[in-house]
Amino acid sequence: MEFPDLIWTILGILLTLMIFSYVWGDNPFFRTASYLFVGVTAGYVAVLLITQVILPRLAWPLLRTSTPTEKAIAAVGVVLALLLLTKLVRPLAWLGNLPMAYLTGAGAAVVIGGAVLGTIIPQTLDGITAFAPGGQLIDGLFMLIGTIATLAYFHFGARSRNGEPPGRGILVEGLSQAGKVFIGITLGALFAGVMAASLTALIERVDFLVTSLTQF
Amino acid sequence: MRSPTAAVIAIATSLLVLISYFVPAGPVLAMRSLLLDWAVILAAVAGVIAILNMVGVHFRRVRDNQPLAPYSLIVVVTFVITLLAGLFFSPSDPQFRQVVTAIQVPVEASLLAVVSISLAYAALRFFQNRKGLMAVTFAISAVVFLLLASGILAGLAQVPVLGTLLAVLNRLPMAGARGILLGVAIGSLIAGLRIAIGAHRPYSG
Repeated sequence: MEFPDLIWTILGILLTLMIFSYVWGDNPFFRTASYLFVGVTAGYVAVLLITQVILPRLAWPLLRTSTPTEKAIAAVGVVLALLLLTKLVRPLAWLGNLPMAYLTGAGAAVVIGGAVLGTIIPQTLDGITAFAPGGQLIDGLFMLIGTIATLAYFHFGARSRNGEPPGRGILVEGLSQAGKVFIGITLGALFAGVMAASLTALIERVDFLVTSLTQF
Repeated sequence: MRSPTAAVIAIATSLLVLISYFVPAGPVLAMRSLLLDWAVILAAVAGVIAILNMVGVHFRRVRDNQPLAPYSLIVVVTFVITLLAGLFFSPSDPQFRQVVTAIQVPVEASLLAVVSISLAYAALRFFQNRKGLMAVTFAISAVVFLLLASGILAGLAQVPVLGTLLAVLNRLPMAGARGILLGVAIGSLIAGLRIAIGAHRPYSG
């Protein structure tokens, strides 16, 4: 093993053992490794944001050769960014509300578009397709019942009748009971997926430790 | 401070971007692209501000010699070194990437590995404390899908009846998943619409 590879391997072994020490509870080794990770990752993300977005989209169009339109577009971005930076200065923080409002408005519109075009329409169309001629009717019916039952479980609207305590209707209550089964199955499958992924990571790390230590 | 100007900006921006989804004409799409470009820049600046704020908290902890100050010193020092090295060498520099990856990959993979033990313990506590229809279905489903994910039952896929049963089992979580997905989407849609019409103003406007 060459010298630089040896250093990275030793670092990998140390960091792995420090994180694994968490099995015995929170301790200085685990904290050191996790704080080191936070510092490096924060620095790396800051570098990416500065070099991949802020410099090429804000600074370079203003400082380097570009058309007046590009300069004007970048200038608006600079103004918005400077207003946002006032969030760091308490007396001027209210000025930062303007770019935050802009960001929130744009984000809300993107979320609406994503929810409608990315989830609601495609999922609904997929549900309808099963009932088309040649579609899988039983599968479609099962999916439809499962979807409605799951949505009914999350329906918390209640109505009071004849002075009785507020409660859900019989139909919604029955569907929500079925919804519990469907949600339980889905969450169980998701749990199994996460568990399988983390077990794979555990096996990979143990294999790395054994392979590395036997090479010394 | 509640500012009507901020509310007007948020409502106008969201409506202008929303219009482009319904009127996909050239100038409207160009306007959406420009608005989203500025939003991306602002999001990047907001990200840098958030990171600086976090490092500032750790810096103050070191300066005031508070508990956990030695760990905060690690955060501040490694942040400054990574930032300066990244700006000097560029993030695409192979040696810079190797150093960052040599720290990130073992920690991330080991944390994920530790999650398996935490998950097993949490599941055990869950089954001890919660008993009901959902807990029972969750437990059965988790065991069945863990067996399926392990590959032990892979050979059964060739057997006619059992193969069909396995296919049906794999479809079971899809119904609940679609319901949850649609629920999340409807929730996001309502939250977005409340901001778009100015009923909810999380930007303090």
